[in-house]
Amino acid sequence: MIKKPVLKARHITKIFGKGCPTCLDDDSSFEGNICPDCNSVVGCKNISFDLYPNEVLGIVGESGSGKSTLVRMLYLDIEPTKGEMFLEFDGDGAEPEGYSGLPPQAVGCDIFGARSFVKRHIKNFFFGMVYQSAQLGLKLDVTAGGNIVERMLMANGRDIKKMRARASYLLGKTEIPVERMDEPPKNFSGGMQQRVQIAKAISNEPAILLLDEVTTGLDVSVQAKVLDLIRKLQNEIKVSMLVVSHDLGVIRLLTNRTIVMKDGRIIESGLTDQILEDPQEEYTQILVNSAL
Amino acid sequence: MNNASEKIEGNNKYNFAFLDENAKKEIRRRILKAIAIPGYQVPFGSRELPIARGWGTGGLQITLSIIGRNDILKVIDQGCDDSVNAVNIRRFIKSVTGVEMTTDTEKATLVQTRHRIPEKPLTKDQIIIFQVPFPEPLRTVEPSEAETRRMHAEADYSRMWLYLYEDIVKCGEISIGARYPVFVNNRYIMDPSPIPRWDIEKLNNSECLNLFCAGREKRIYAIPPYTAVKPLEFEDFRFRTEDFKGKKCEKCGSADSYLDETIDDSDGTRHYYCSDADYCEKNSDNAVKK
Repeated sequence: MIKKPVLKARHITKIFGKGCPTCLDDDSSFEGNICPDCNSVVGCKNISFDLYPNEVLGIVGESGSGKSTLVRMLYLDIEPTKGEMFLEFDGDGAEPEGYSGLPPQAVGCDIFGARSFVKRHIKNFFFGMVYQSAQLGLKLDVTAGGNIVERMLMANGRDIKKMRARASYLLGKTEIPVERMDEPPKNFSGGMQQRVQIAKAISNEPAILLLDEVTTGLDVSVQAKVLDLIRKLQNEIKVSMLVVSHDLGVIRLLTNRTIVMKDGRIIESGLTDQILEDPQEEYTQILVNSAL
Repeated sequence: MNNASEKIEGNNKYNFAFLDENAKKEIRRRILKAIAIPGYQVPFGSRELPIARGWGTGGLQITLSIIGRNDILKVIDQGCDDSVNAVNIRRFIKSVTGVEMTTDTEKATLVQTRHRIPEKPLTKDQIIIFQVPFPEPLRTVEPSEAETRRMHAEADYSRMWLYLYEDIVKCGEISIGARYPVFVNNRYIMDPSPIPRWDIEKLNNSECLNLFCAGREKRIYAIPPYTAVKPLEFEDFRFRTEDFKGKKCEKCGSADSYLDETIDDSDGTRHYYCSDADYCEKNSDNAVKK
Protein backbone atom coordinates (compact mmCIF):
# COMPACT_ATOMS: atom_id res chain seq x y z
CA MET A 1 0.00 0.00 0.00
CA ILE A 2 1.36 3.38 -0.93
CA LYS A 3 1.14 5.74 1.99
CA LYS A 4 0.07 9.33 1.68
CA PRO A 5 2.92 11.81 1.67
CA VAL A 6 3.64 13.35 5.05
CA LEU A 7 4.72 16.62 3.46
CA LYS A 8 3.61 18.09 0.19
CA ALA A 9 5.43 21.16 -1.11
CA ARG A 10 3.78 22.99 -3.99
CA HIS A 11 5.20 25.74 -6.19
CA ILE A 12 7.38 27.26 -3.50
CA THR A 13 9.10 30.42 -4.65
CA LYS A 14 11.33 32.75 -2.68
CA ILE A 15 12.47 36.04 -4.18
CA PHE A 16 14.99 38.17 -2.32
CA GLY A 17 14.16 41.64 -3.54
CA LYS A 18 10.97 43.29 -4.69
CA GLY A 19 10.17 40.77 -7.42
CA CYS A 20 8.30 41.33 -10.68
CA PRO A 21 5.87 39.37 -12.86
CA THR A 22 8.79 37.73 -14.69
CA CYS A 23 10.45 36.10 -11.69
CA LEU A 24 7.16 35.36 -9.93
CA ASP A 25 5.71 33.53 -12.92
CA ASP A 26 6.10 29.77 -12.44
CA ASP A 27 6.49 29.19 -16.18
CA SER A 28 8.99 31.91 -16.99
CA SER A 29 12.49 30.72 -17.78
CA PHE A 30 15.73 32.61 -17.61
CA GLU A 31 19.34 31.69 -17.01
CA GLY A 32 20.93 32.03 -13.58
CA ASN A 33 19.30 33.17 -10.37
CA ILE A 34 19.05 36.90 -11.09
CA CYS A 35 15.79 38.08 -12.61
CA PRO A 36 16.58 39.84 -15.93
CA ASP A 37 13.77 42.37 -15.45
CA CYS A 38 14.02 43.47 -11.82
CA ASN A 39 17.46 42.17 -10.74
CA SER A 40 15.93 40.38 -7.72
CA VAL A 41 17.73 37.30 -6.48
CA VAL A 42 15.72 34.14 -6.93
CA GLY A 43 16.28 31.92 -3.89
CA CYS A 44 13.90 29.15 -4.89
CA LYS A 45 11.63 28.96 -7.89
CA ASN A 46 8.58 26.78 -8.32
CA ILE A 47 9.72 23.96 -6.05
CA SER A 48 7.28 21.07 -5.71
CA PHE A 49 7.93 17.67 -4.15
CA ASP A 50 6.44 15.04 -1.85
CA LEU A 51 8.02 13.49 1.21
CA TYR A 52 6.66 10.07 2.17
CA PRO A 53 6.59 8.50 5.65
CA ASN A 54 9.89 6.89 6.70
CA GLU A 55 11.55 8.11 3.57
CA VAL A 56 14.90 9.85 3.40
CA LEU A 57 14.94 12.50 0.71
CA GLY A 58 18.19 14.15 -0.32
CA ILE A 59 18.57 17.64 -1.71
CA VAL A 60 21.84 18.20 -3.50
CA GLY A 61 23.27 21.14 -5.33
CA GLU A 62 26.19 23.54 -5.30
CA SER A 63 26.49 26.40 -2.86
CA GLY A 64 23.93 29.12 -3.61
CA SER A 65 21.48 26.79 -5.28
CA GLY A 66 18.74 27.48 -2.71
CA LYS A 67 18.95 24.30 -0.63
CA SER A 68 19.16 25.96 2.76
CA THR A 69 16.60 28.59 1.79
CA LEU A 70 14.19 25.80 0.94
CA VAL A 71 14.73 23.95 4.21
CA ARG A 72 14.40 27.09 6.27
CA MET A 73 11.12 27.87 4.55
CA LEU A 74 9.86 24.37 5.31
CA TYR A 75 10.89 24.84 8.95
CA LEU A 76 8.92 28.13 8.88
CA ASP A 77 12.03 30.15 9.76
CA ILE A 78 11.54 32.39 6.73
CA GLU A 79 8.42 33.07 4.72
CA PRO A 80 8.19 32.09 1.07
CA THR A 81 7.15 34.69 -1.47
CA LYS A 82 4.73 32.22 -2.98
CA GLY A 83 3.75 28.61 -2.62
CA GLU A 84 2.01 26.15 -0.37
CA MET A 85 2.88 23.37 2.04
CA PHE A 86 0.55 20.65 3.28
CA LEU A 87 1.22 18.30 6.14
CA GLU A 88 -0.44 15.03 6.95
CA PHE A 89 0.19 12.69 9.81
CA ASP A 90 -1.40 9.37 10.67
CA GLY A 91 -0.58 8.53 14.24
CA ASP A 92 0.03 4.89 15.08
CA GLY A 93 -0.77 5.30 18.76
CA ALA A 94 2.90 5.18 19.72
CA GLU A 95 3.33 8.93 20.00
CA PRO A 96 4.98 10.22 23.17
CA GLU A 97 2.86 11.58 25.98
CA GLY A 98 1.51 15.04 25.35
CA TYR A 99 1.93 14.64 21.61
CA SER A 100 -1.06 15.99 19.80
CA GLY A 101 0.12 15.58 16.22
CA LEU A 102 -1.08 18.30 13.96
CA PRO A 103 -3.40 20.92 15.38
CA PRO A 104 -6.87 20.53 13.81
CA GLN A 105 -6.56 23.95 12.16
CA ALA A 106 -3.58 22.68 10.15
CA VAL A 107 -5.10 19.56 8.62
CA GLY A 108 -5.57 19.94 4.88
CA CYS A 109 -4.59 23.62 5.01
CA ASP A 110 -1.67 25.48 3.54
CA ILE A 111 0.74 25.82 6.46
CA PHE A 112 2.41 28.95 5.09
CA GLY A 113 -0.92 30.74 5.31
CA ALA A 114 -1.67 29.54 8.85
CA ARG A 115 -1.76 31.74 11.93
CA SER A 116 1.55 32.13 13.70
CA PHE A 117 0.12 30.29 16.72
CA VAL A 118 -0.46 27.22 14.54
CA LYS A 119 2.96 27.58 12.93
CA ARG A 120 4.60 27.63 16.34
CA HIS A 121 2.79 24.42 17.27
CA ILE A 122 3.93 22.73 14.06
CA LYS A 123 7.51 23.88 14.57
CA ASN A 124 7.51 22.48 18.09
CA PHE A 125 5.77 19.18 17.45
CA PHE A 126 6.07 18.23 13.84
CA PHE A 127 9.56 19.21 12.77
CA GLY A 128 13.02 18.62 14.13
CA MET A 129 15.77 20.75 12.64
CA VAL A 130 19.53 20.35 12.66
CA TYR A 131 21.28 23.43 11.37
CA GLN A 132 24.61 23.62 9.63
CA SER A 133 26.08 25.63 12.49
CA ALA A 134 25.33 24.69 16.07
CA GLN A 135 24.93 28.35 17.08
CA LEU A 136 21.65 28.48 15.18
CA GLY A 137 20.19 25.34 16.66
CA LEU A 138 21.53 25.47 20.22
CA LYS A 139 21.69 27.98 23.01
CA LEU A 140 25.39 27.66 23.67
CA ASP A 141 25.24 29.22 27.14
CA VAL A 142 22.46 26.93 28.37
CA THR A 143 23.44 23.45 29.53
CA ALA A 144 23.37 20.60 27.01
CA GLY A 145 20.62 18.94 29.03
CA GLY A 146 18.68 22.21 29.09
CA ASN A 147 18.91 22.49 25.31
CA ILE A 148 17.33 19.08 24.91
CA VAL A 149 14.78 19.63 27.67
CA GLU A 150 13.72 22.90 26.02
CA ARG A 151 11.92 21.03 23.27
CA MET A 152 10.14 18.86 25.80
CA LEU A 153 9.14 22.00 27.69
CA MET A 154 7.69 23.33 24.44
CA ALA A 155 5.61 20.18 24.29
CA ASN A 156 4.33 20.92 27.82
CA GLY A 157 6.67 18.55 29.67
CA ARG A 158 6.48 19.59 33.33
CA ASP A 159 8.23 16.74 35.14
CA ILE A 160 11.90 17.50 35.62
CA LYS A 161 12.98 13.99 36.60
CA LYS A 162 11.29 12.38 33.60
CA MET A 163 12.65 14.98 31.20
CA ARG A 164 16.17 14.66 32.56
CA ALA A 165 15.98 10.90 32.26
CA ARG A 166 14.97 11.22 28.62
CA ALA A 167 17.64 13.85 27.95
CA SER A 168 20.36 11.60 29.35
CA TYR A 169 19.01 8.69 27.32
CA LEU A 170 19.22 10.81 24.15
CA LEU A 171 22.72 12.02 25.04
CA GLY A 172 23.75 8.41 25.52
CA LYS A 173 22.33 7.58 22.15
CA THR A 174 24.30 10.37 20.53
CA GLU A 175 27.42 9.22 22.39
CA ILE A 176 27.87 12.25 24.58
CA PRO A 177 29.09 11.40 28.08
CA VAL A 178 26.11 11.81 30.38
CA GLU A 179 28.33 13.43 33.04
CA ARG A 180 28.63 16.43 30.73
CA MET A 181 24.88 16.93 30.61
CA ASP A 182 24.98 20.00 32.85
CA GLU A 183 27.78 21.66 30.94
CA PRO A 184 27.04 24.32 28.33
CA PRO A 185 27.72 23.22 24.72
CA LYS A 186 30.13 26.12 24.23
CA ASN A 187 32.64 23.91 26.06
CA PHE A 188 32.04 21.11 23.56
CA SER A 189 33.83 20.33 20.30
CA GLY A 190 32.09 21.06 16.99
CA GLY A 191 31.21 17.41 16.46
CA MET A 192 29.77 17.09 19.94
CA GLN A 193 27.71 20.26 19.46
CA GLN A 194 26.34 18.79 16.26
CA ARG A 195 25.37 15.61 18.08
CA VAL A 196 23.69 17.59 20.88
CA GLN A 197 21.73 19.34 18.14
CA ILE A 198 20.60 16.00 16.77
CA ALA A 199 19.60 14.82 20.25
CA LYS A 200 17.61 18.02 20.67
CA ALA A 201 15.92 17.67 17.29
CA ILE A 202 14.72 14.12 17.96
CA SER A 203 13.73 14.67 21.60
CA ASN A 204 10.07 15.23 20.70
CA GLU A 205 10.02 12.38 18.18
CA PRO A 206 9.12 14.69 15.32
CA ALA A 207 7.40 13.35 12.22
CA ILE A 208 9.92 15.07 9.98
CA LEU A 209 13.60 15.65 10.63
CA LEU A 210 15.31 18.36 8.58
CA LEU A 211 19.08 18.06 8.32
CA ASP A 212 20.87 21.03 6.81
CA GLU A 213 24.49 20.24 5.93
CA VAL A 214 25.03 18.38 9.19
CA THR A 215 28.52 17.16 8.39
CA THR A 216 29.96 20.27 6.81
CA GLY A 217 32.93 21.61 8.68
CA LEU A 218 33.53 18.44 10.63
CA ASP A 219 36.61 16.29 10.17
CA VAL A 220 36.26 12.96 8.47
CA SER A 221 36.16 10.72 11.54
CA VAL A 222 33.56 12.90 13.27
CA GLN A 223 31.62 13.05 10.01
CA ALA A 224 31.52 9.27 10.02
CA LYS A 225 30.24 9.28 13.61
CA VAL A 226 27.45 11.75 12.85
CA LEU A 227 26.44 9.86 9.71
CA ASP A 228 26.44 6.59 11.63
CA LEU A 229 24.17 8.17 14.20
CA ILE A 230 21.73 9.40 11.60
CA ARG A 231 21.62 5.98 9.93
CA LYS A 232 20.99 4.35 13.29
CA LEU A 233 18.16 6.76 14.03
CA GLN A 234 16.68 6.15 10.64
CA ASN A 235 16.38 2.45 11.52
CA GLU A 236 15.25 2.95 15.09
CA ILE A 237 12.66 5.71 15.08
CA LYS A 238 9.89 6.26 12.62
CA VAL A 239 10.82 9.54 11.04
CA SER A 240 10.91 11.04 7.58
CA MET A 241 14.09 12.91 6.82
CA LEU A 242 15.10 15.64 4.49
CA VAL A 243 18.87 15.66 4.07
CA VAL A 244 20.47 18.71 2.50
CA SER A 245 24.05 18.39 1.42
CA HIS A 246 26.49 19.35 -1.27
CA ASP A 247 28.42 16.20 -0.44
CA LEU A 248 27.39 13.37 -2.75
CA GLY A 249 28.94 10.85 -0.37
CA VAL A 250 26.47 11.86 2.34
CA ILE A 251 23.61 11.70 -0.13
CA ARG A 252 24.62 8.26 -1.36
CA LEU A 253 24.98 6.93 2.17
CA LEU A 254 21.75 8.24 3.63
CA THR A 255 19.05 8.86 1.08
CA ASN A 256 16.51 6.85 -0.88
CA ARG A 257 15.49 9.59 -3.26
CA THR A 258 17.29 12.71 -4.38
CA ILE A 259 16.43 16.10 -5.77
CA VAL A 260 19.08 18.04 -7.65
CA MET A 261 18.86 21.81 -7.41
CA LYS A 262 20.51 24.51 -9.46
CA ASP A 263 19.87 28.27 -9.40
CA GLY A 264 16.88 27.76 -7.11
CA ARG A 265 15.15 25.26 -9.38
CA ILE A 266 14.76 21.49 -9.32
CA ILE A 267 16.51 20.20 -12.40
CA GLU A 268 16.39 16.49 -11.75
CA SER A 269 14.86 14.09 -9.26
CA GLY A 270 14.64 10.35 -8.82
CA LEU A 271 16.06 7.39 -6.91
CA THR A 272 19.47 8.21 -5.48
CA ASP A 273 21.20 5.29 -7.19
CA GLN A 274 19.72 6.29 -10.51
CA ILE A 275 20.76 9.90 -10.19
CA LEU A 276 24.29 9.07 -9.15
CA GLU A 277 24.87 6.25 -11.63
CA ASP A 278 22.96 7.57 -14.59
CA PRO A 279 22.54 11.34 -14.41
CA GLN A 280 20.47 12.75 -17.23
CA GLU A 281 21.03 16.49 -16.91
CA GLU A 282 24.31 17.99 -17.94
CA TYR A 283 24.73 19.80 -14.64
CA THR A 284 24.17 16.60 -12.65
CA GLN A 285 26.69 14.80 -14.81
CA ILE A 286 29.30 17.43 -14.04
CA LEU A 287 28.42 17.27 -10.33
CA VAL A 288 28.71 13.47 -10.20
CA ASN A 289 31.89 13.41 -12.25
CA SER A 290 33.64 16.03 -10.20
CA ALA A 291 32.78 14.21 -6.97
CA LEU A 292 33.95 10.78 -8.04
CA MET B 1 -15.95 58.87 39.92
CA ASN B 2 -16.16 62.33 38.52
CA ASN B 3 -16.41 62.84 34.82
CA ALA B 4 -16.89 66.57 34.48
CA SER B 5 -13.95 68.88 34.71
CA GLU B 6 -14.12 70.07 38.28
CA LYS B 7 -11.86 72.10 40.47
CA ILE B 8 -11.01 71.18 44.02
CA GLU B 9 -11.90 73.66 46.70
CA GLY B 10 -9.10 75.95 47.72
CA ASN B 11 -6.90 74.79 44.86
CA ASN B 12 -8.22 76.03 41.57
CA LYS B 13 -4.96 75.71 39.67
CA TYR B 14 -5.24 72.00 39.01
CA ASN B 15 -8.00 69.76 37.72
CA PHE B 16 -9.45 67.28 40.19
CA ALA B 17 -6.86 64.48 40.64
CA PHE B 18 -4.19 66.45 38.75
CA LEU B 19 -4.52 64.68 35.37
CA ASP B 20 -6.64 66.36 32.72
CA GLU B 21 -9.90 64.66 31.81
CA ASN B 22 -8.62 63.37 28.46
CA ALA B 23 -5.67 61.66 30.11
CA LYS B 24 -7.96 60.03 32.67
CA LYS B 25 -10.28 58.90 29.91
CA GLU B 26 -7.45 57.27 27.99
CA ILE B 27 -6.12 55.50 31.06
CA ARG B 28 -9.60 54.26 32.00
CA ARG B 29 -10.05 52.86 28.50
CA ARG B 30 -6.72 51.03 28.76
CA ILE B 31 -7.77 49.66 32.12
CA LEU B 32 -10.97 48.31 30.57
CA LYS B 33 -9.00 46.61 27.84
CA ALA B 34 -6.58 45.17 30.40
CA ILE B 35 -9.50 43.76 32.40
CA ALA B 36 -10.99 42.27 29.25
CA ILE B 37 -7.75 40.38 28.50
CA PRO B 38 -6.43 39.23 31.90
CA GLY B 39 -2.65 39.38 32.11
CA TYR B 40 -2.17 41.11 28.77
CA GLN B 41 0.01 44.21 28.84
CA VAL B 42 -1.79 47.19 27.31
CA PRO B 43 0.44 50.09 26.20
CA PHE B 44 -0.68 53.58 27.23
CA GLY B 45 0.54 57.15 27.08
CA SER B 46 2.26 57.58 30.42
CA ARG B 47 1.88 61.21 31.61
CA GLU B 48 4.39 63.44 33.30
CA LEU B 49 3.80 63.76 37.03
CA PRO B 50 5.50 65.85 39.70
CA ILE B 51 7.35 62.75 40.91
CA ALA B 52 10.09 60.97 39.03
CA ARG B 53 9.55 57.90 36.87
CA GLY B 54 10.38 54.81 38.87
CA TRP B 55 8.80 56.16 42.06
CA GLY B 56 5.33 54.78 41.49
CA THR B 57 4.13 56.94 38.61
CA GLY B 58 2.30 53.97 37.09
CA GLY B 59 0.25 53.18 40.15
CA LEU B 60 -0.28 56.86 40.75
CA GLN B 61 -1.72 57.44 37.29
CA ILE B 62 -4.23 54.63 37.75
CA THR B 63 -5.20 55.91 41.17
CA LEU B 64 -5.64 59.45 39.86
CA SER B 65 -7.70 58.20 36.90
CA ILE B 66 -10.17 56.13 38.87
CA ILE B 67 -10.39 57.99 42.17
CA GLY B 68 -13.65 59.78 42.98
CA ARG B 69 -14.64 62.20 45.72
CA ASN B 70 -16.19 59.47 47.86
CA ASP B 71 -13.23 57.09 47.68
CA ILE B 72 -11.10 56.32 50.69
CA LEU B 73 -7.47 55.72 49.83
CA LYS B 74 -4.76 53.67 51.49
CA VAL B 75 -1.18 53.83 50.24
CA ILE B 76 1.44 51.32 51.36
CA ASP B 77 5.08 50.80 50.60
CA GLN B 78 6.30 47.25 51.42
CA GLY B 79 3.28 46.82 53.68
CA CYS B 80 4.01 49.97 55.64
CA ASP B 81 1.83 53.10 55.59
CA ASP B 82 4.56 55.38 56.86
CA SER B 83 7.55 54.87 54.59
CA VAL B 84 8.74 57.65 52.30
CA ASN B 85 7.14 56.53 49.04
CA ALA B 86 3.73 55.97 50.62
CA VAL B 87 3.76 59.21 52.60
CA ASN B 88 4.69 61.33 49.60
CA ILE B 89 2.17 59.75 47.27
CA ARG B 90 -0.55 60.08 49.90
CA ARG B 91 0.27 63.75 50.49
CA PHE B 92 0.29 64.47 46.77
CA ILE B 93 -3.07 62.77 46.14
CA LYS B 94 -4.56 64.53 49.17
CA SER B 95 -3.45 67.91 47.83
CA VAL B 96 -4.93 67.38 44.36
CA THR B 97 -8.15 65.53 45.29
CA GLY B 98 -8.94 66.23 48.91
CA VAL B 99 -10.32 62.68 49.38
CA GLU B 100 -10.19 60.87 52.68
CA MET B 101 -7.03 58.92 53.49
CA THR B 102 -6.80 55.91 55.75
CA THR B 103 -4.34 53.31 56.98
CA ASP B 104 -7.16 50.86 57.70
CA THR B 105 -7.24 48.11 55.07
CA GLU B 106 -10.91 47.30 55.63
CA LYS B 107 -12.02 50.91 55.37
CA ALA B 108 -10.20 51.71 52.13
CA THR B 109 -11.94 51.51 48.76
CA LEU B 110 -8.69 51.95 46.85
CA VAL B 111 -5.33 50.57 47.91
CA GLN B 112 -2.20 51.68 46.09
CA THR B 113 0.71 49.45 46.92
CA ARG B 114 4.39 49.03 46.34
CA HIS B 115 5.53 45.40 46.55
CA ARG B 116 3.03 43.96 49.04
CA ILE B 117 -0.59 42.84 49.27
CA PRO B 118 -2.31 43.49 52.63
CA GLU B 119 -2.64 40.37 54.79
CA LYS B 120 -6.37 40.94 55.26
CA PRO B 121 -8.06 39.59 52.07
CA LEU B 122 -9.57 42.41 50.03
CA THR B 123 -13.26 42.33 49.19
CA LYS B 124 -15.21 42.82 45.99
CA ASP B 125 -15.79 46.47 46.89
CA GLN B 126 -12.09 47.23 46.85
CA ILE B 127 -9.52 47.82 44.11
CA ILE B 128 -5.80 47.26 44.61
CA ILE B 129 -3.33 49.14 42.44
CA PHE B 130 0.24 47.87 42.09
CA GLN B 131 3.26 49.99 41.24
CA VAL B 132 5.26 47.97 38.71
CA PRO B 133 8.92 48.54 37.89
CA PHE B 134 9.26 45.83 35.19
CA PRO B 135 6.03 44.74 33.53
CA GLU B 136 7.62 42.21 31.16
CA PRO B 137 8.14 38.80 32.80
CA LEU B 138 10.02 37.51 29.76
CA ARG B 139 12.61 40.29 29.88
CA THR B 140 14.96 38.05 31.89
CA VAL B 141 15.15 35.65 28.96
CA GLU B 142 14.66 37.97 25.98
CA PRO B 143 15.92 41.54 25.61
CA SER B 144 13.88 42.44 22.51
CA GLU B 145 10.40 43.90 23.00
CA ALA B 146 9.25 42.80 19.54
CA GLU B 147 10.33 39.26 20.33
CA THR B 148 8.64 39.13 23.76
CA ARG B 149 5.40 40.36 22.21
CA ARG B 150 5.61 37.60 19.63
CA MET B 151 6.29 35.08 22.39
CA HIS B 152 3.20 36.25 24.30
CA ALA B 153 1.07 36.15 21.15
CA GLU B 154 2.09 32.60 20.31
CA ALA B 155 2.17 31.49 23.95
CA ASP B 156 5.75 30.49 23.24
CA TYR B 157 6.91 30.29 26.83
CA SER B 158 9.48 27.49 26.58
CA ARG B 159 12.36 29.86 27.28
CA MET B 160 10.82 30.98 30.55
CA TRP B 161 10.39 27.35 31.52
CA LEU B 162 13.97 26.67 30.41
CA TYR B 163 15.14 29.48 32.68
CA LEU B 164 13.40 27.78 35.61
CA TYR B 165 14.88 24.41 34.61
CA GLU B 166 18.40 25.85 34.53
CA ASP B 167 17.77 27.42 37.91
CA ILE B 168 16.82 24.03 39.34
CA VAL B 169 19.87 22.36 37.77
CA LYS B 170 22.15 25.05 39.22
CA CYS B 171 20.57 25.72 42.61
CA GLY B 172 18.48 22.65 43.36
CA GLU B 173 15.29 24.72 43.36
CA ILE B 174 13.76 27.77 41.74
CA SER B 175 15.65 30.72 43.18
CA ILE B 176 13.33 33.57 42.18
CA GLY B 177 12.45 35.56 45.30
CA ALA B 178 10.14 38.41 44.42
CA ARG B 179 8.56 38.95 40.96
CA TYR B 180 7.69 35.28 40.66
CA PRO B 181 6.11 34.77 37.18
CA VAL B 182 2.50 33.59 37.13
CA PHE B 183 0.06 32.26 34.56
CA VAL B 184 -3.09 34.36 34.42
CA ASN B 185 -6.29 32.69 33.26
CA ASN B 186 -4.14 29.85 31.82
CA ARG B 187 -3.00 32.08 29.00
CA TYR B 188 -0.51 34.87 29.63
CA ILE B 189 2.57 34.78 31.79
CA MET B 190 2.50 37.91 33.91
CA ASP B 191 4.88 39.73 36.21
CA PRO B 192 3.04 40.23 39.49
CA SER B 193 5.34 43.17 40.39
CA PRO B 194 7.99 42.52 43.04
CA ILE B 195 5.61 41.13 45.65
CA PRO B 196 7.08 38.29 47.74
CA ARG B 197 6.12 34.72 46.86
CA TRP B 198 4.01 34.81 50.03
CA ASP B 199 1.55 37.13 48.30
CA ILE B 200 1.19 35.19 45.03
CA GLU B 201 -1.53 32.95 46.42
CA LYS B 202 -3.63 35.99 47.31
CA LEU B 203 -3.89 36.87 43.62
CA ASN B 204 -5.55 33.57 42.75
CA ASN B 205 -9.31 33.85 42.55
CA SER B 206 -9.23 37.10 44.51
CA GLU B 207 -12.46 38.96 45.14
CA CYS B 208 -11.00 42.37 44.41
CA LEU B 209 -9.91 43.89 41.12
CA ASN B 210 -6.10 43.95 40.74
CA LEU B 211 -4.66 46.68 38.54
CA PHE B 212 -0.99 46.88 37.60
CA CYS B 213 0.74 49.81 35.98
CA ALA B 214 4.31 50.63 35.03
CA GLY B 215 4.73 54.36 34.39
CA ARG B 216 8.24 54.25 33.02
CA GLU B 217 7.57 51.21 30.82
CA LYS B 218 4.10 52.51 29.87
CA ARG B 219 2.11 49.31 30.39
CA ILE B 220 -1.18 48.58 32.15
CA TYR B 221 -2.39 45.07 32.97
CA ALA B 222 -5.00 43.59 35.25
CA ILE B 223 -6.31 40.54 37.05
CA PRO B 224 -10.10 40.77 37.19
CA PRO B 225 -11.94 39.36 40.22
CA TYR B 226 -12.26 35.57 40.41
CA THR B 227 -9.51 34.86 37.88
CA ALA B 228 -7.18 31.86 38.09
CA VAL B 229 -3.59 32.86 38.82
CA LYS B 230 -1.03 30.07 38.99
CA PRO B 231 2.67 30.37 39.72
CA LEU B 232 4.95 28.56 37.26
CA GLU B 233 5.97 25.24 38.78
CA PHE B 234 7.07 21.73 37.81
CA GLU B 235 5.33 18.57 38.90
CA ASP B 236 8.31 17.53 40.99
CA PHE B 237 9.54 21.03 41.88
CA ARG B 238 6.59 22.85 43.36
CA PHE B 239 6.25 26.55 43.98
CA ARG B 240 6.71 27.31 47.66
CA THR B 241 6.29 30.44 49.71
CA GLU B 242 8.72 31.91 52.21
CA ASP B 243 9.14 29.77 55.27
CA PHE B 244 8.55 31.46 58.63
CA LYS B 245 8.17 28.28 60.63
CA GLY B 246 8.92 28.82 64.30
CA LYS B 247 9.08 32.58 63.89
CA LYS B 248 6.53 35.18 64.89
CA CYS B 249 6.14 38.93 64.97
CA GLU B 250 7.77 40.38 68.10
CA LYS B 251 5.23 43.21 68.28
CA CYS B 252 1.90 41.45 67.84
CA GLY B 253 2.84 37.80 68.14
CA SER B 254 1.32 36.90 64.79
CA ALA B 255 2.67 33.70 63.25
CA ASP B 256 0.62 33.78 60.06
CA SER B 257 1.77 36.95 58.33
CA TYR B 258 4.73 37.85 56.14
CA LEU B 259 7.61 38.85 58.42
CA ASP B 260 10.41 41.36 57.90
CA GLU B 261 13.77 40.33 59.24
CA THR B 262 15.83 43.05 60.89
CA ILE B 263 19.25 42.71 62.41
CA ASP B 264 20.12 44.57 65.57
CA ASP B 265 23.43 46.27 64.90
CA SER B 266 24.47 46.40 68.53
CA ASP B 267 24.42 42.65 69.17
CA GLY B 268 23.78 41.09 65.76
CA THR B 269 20.56 39.33 66.78
CA ARG B 270 17.73 38.80 64.30
CA HIS B 271 14.28 40.18 64.94
CA TYR B 272 11.05 39.58 63.09
CA TYR B 273 8.17 41.99 62.63
CA CYS B 274 5.01 41.96 60.52
CA SER B 275 5.56 43.61 57.17
CA ASP B 276 1.92 44.74 57.07
CA ALA B 277 1.80 47.64 59.57
CA ASP B 278 -2.00 47.89 59.72
CA TYR B 279 -2.42 44.16 60.28
CA CYS B 280 0.20 44.20 63.04
CA GLU B 281 -1.43 47.16 64.79
CA LYS B 282 -4.88 45.58 64.80
CA ASN B 283 -3.43 42.33 66.07
CA SER B 284 -1.67 44.13 68.92
CA ASP B 285 -4.90 46.00 69.81
CA ASN B 286 -6.83 42.74 69.94
CA ALA B 287 -4.18 41.21 72.16
CA VAL B 288 -4.41 44.18 74.56
CA LYS B 289 -8.24 43.98 74.68
CA LYS B 290 -8.11 40.30 75.54
